[in-house]
Amino acid sequence: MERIMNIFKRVMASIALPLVMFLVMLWATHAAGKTYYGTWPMWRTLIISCTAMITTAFGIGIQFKSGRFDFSGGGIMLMAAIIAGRVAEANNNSMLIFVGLSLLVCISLSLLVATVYVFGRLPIIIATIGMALFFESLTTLIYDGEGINLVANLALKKVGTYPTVLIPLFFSIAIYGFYSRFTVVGKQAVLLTNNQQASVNIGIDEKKNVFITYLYSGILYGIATTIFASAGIQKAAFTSMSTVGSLFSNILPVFIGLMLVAYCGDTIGIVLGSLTLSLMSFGLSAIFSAEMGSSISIIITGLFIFGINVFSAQGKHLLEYLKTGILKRRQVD
Amino acid sequence: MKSNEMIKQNKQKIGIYGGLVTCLIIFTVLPPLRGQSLWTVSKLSTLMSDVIVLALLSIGAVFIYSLGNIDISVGKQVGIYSTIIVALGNTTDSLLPGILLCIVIALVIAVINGSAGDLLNIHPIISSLVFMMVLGGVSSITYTQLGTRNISLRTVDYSIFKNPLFMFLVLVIEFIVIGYFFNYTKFGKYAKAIGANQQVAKQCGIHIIKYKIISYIFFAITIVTASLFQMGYTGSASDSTGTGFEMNVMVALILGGMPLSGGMKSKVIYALIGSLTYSLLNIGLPLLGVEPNQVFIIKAIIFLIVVLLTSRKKYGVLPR
Repeated sequence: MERIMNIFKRVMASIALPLVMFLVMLWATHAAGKTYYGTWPMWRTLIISCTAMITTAFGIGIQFKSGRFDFSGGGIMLMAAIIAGRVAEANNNSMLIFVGLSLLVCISLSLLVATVYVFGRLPIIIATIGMALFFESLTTLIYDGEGINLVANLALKKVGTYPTVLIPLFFSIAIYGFYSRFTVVGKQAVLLTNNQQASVNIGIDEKKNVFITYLYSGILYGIATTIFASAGIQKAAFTSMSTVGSLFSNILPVFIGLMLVAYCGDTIGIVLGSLTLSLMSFGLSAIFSAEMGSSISIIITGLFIFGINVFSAQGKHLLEYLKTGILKRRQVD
Repeated sequence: MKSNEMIKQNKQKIGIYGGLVTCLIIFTVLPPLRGQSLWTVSKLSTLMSDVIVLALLSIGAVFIYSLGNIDISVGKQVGIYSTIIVALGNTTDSLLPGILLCIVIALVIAVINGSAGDLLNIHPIISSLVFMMVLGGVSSITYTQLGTRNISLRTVDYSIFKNPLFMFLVLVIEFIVIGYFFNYTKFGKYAKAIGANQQVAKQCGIHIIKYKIISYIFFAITIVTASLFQMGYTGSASDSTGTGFEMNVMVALILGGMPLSGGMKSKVIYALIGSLTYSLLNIGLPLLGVEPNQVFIIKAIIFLIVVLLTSRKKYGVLPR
């Protein structure tokens, strides 16, 4: 019985965030006379935007939870989108080439970042900023800096539409979950994060760990690229570090995922985090005009992140304080 | 033998100063072969306009980076302050009310950014991430409400902010003032001590939160100053003003040799060297006939080479 109650508590704690967000937004949108929210067409669109966020978040998350703040992911994805999209277009919109090249380019560039980090012995932020600048500058040179536009390419866009989008979603969850739970490298990465020196002292090969972790993040970025490439016009990066902003807008689910780790593990946590943020974003965009909705969504997301971080840092003390307060009041009564 | 040892010991310094000196030599010697020159009044004015905002921000950011912290809200702060100065300038026919309001907002943000990490036990970057998002959203809403993406000063004379000599003067003053506080007062010394080892600093009796807030206040004042010059260059502000400045500051500081982990090796001169090198590349490479899209890759390669040469190698575990 206790076990069932425990599972029930964990399930409830895990789904509380997206559930509350959905109910609040459902009430707010219907109060504003917008009945689209909560309908099947909304869910279909939401799954697509959510998958784009989840796959990218997994790519960032795999490095983040290994204690590395990686800035190069955006540049890698942009390069892969341009090369894979252009080559696939030139080959009768071959989906196989598109997906294959997305994976190949992302894996190769990720391993290149790992090589610079490991053999250059640079701090991770410096190494990844340098590589992000390098990849961004390459996007301005390849294909005359024209980027890629797959918005109207129905053949290549297929992977970013419902229900095909469920395939990359499934694979990204499986790969991240497999890395975190079933691989020695994933478990060693956690050890390295918690105590790098002690982990190396007990015999963990840190360099090998970095390379394999970057291989996994390359695969995840590759999967994300198949959706990201057709999500909009992907222009070459003519402003330095412009890819970092878009990359880090996807880090928010990682924060939520790591907060929910005690209840459902970070894999499901990141999925639920993305779902929560997408539900909020869709709701606000429905209530306000698209531009205003997205601006308000950014502000609320910022405050939301702040609240989540404060709660995850102080939540235990807060609950203890409340419990002590209740006990004291009972004693007085 | 002795000179070899000396080079080995000063490898980092040689890399940092060498980068700037090499740029200066290349851009002095080669452009005349193509009938161009860096040392003309117009090119030096362009260089000054290019470097001023980045240098002002980077010099102030030394206080934050010496703590081992990173502030990623700086770009959005510049954007919103420029907007406020222009909007209030048009309403009151003076820049002063806008500047005063910006200082108040900047101080509030500085106090929150400086204290949130330790008071609430969250990563220091989180509060600046939140400000980045909130200020970005506020800026976007403001311009949506105004129905335009750009606002310009109408009646106030802002020509002084376009004067290269004035820019140079302000830069020198800021460098001296920040340099003095950073090197010769307890504000800078404690900031470096906190960055080197916060626990030890605390055990030595340093009030961590107080000195972190003070460090952020120094940076806040330089952000408002930089915003004035950013706005003053065109006399306008837009919803994209300040975009990417946080990364430019980081790149300039890294290029100058600033350790991102903070600590005792942080120096104000690194900010100036990094900003000057960065802007010299922007202005100098086109003089050599490099196409605008090729400038990016040359800058990226130079960045990688400089950091590979100058970064302090940590043996044993990989640096984080």
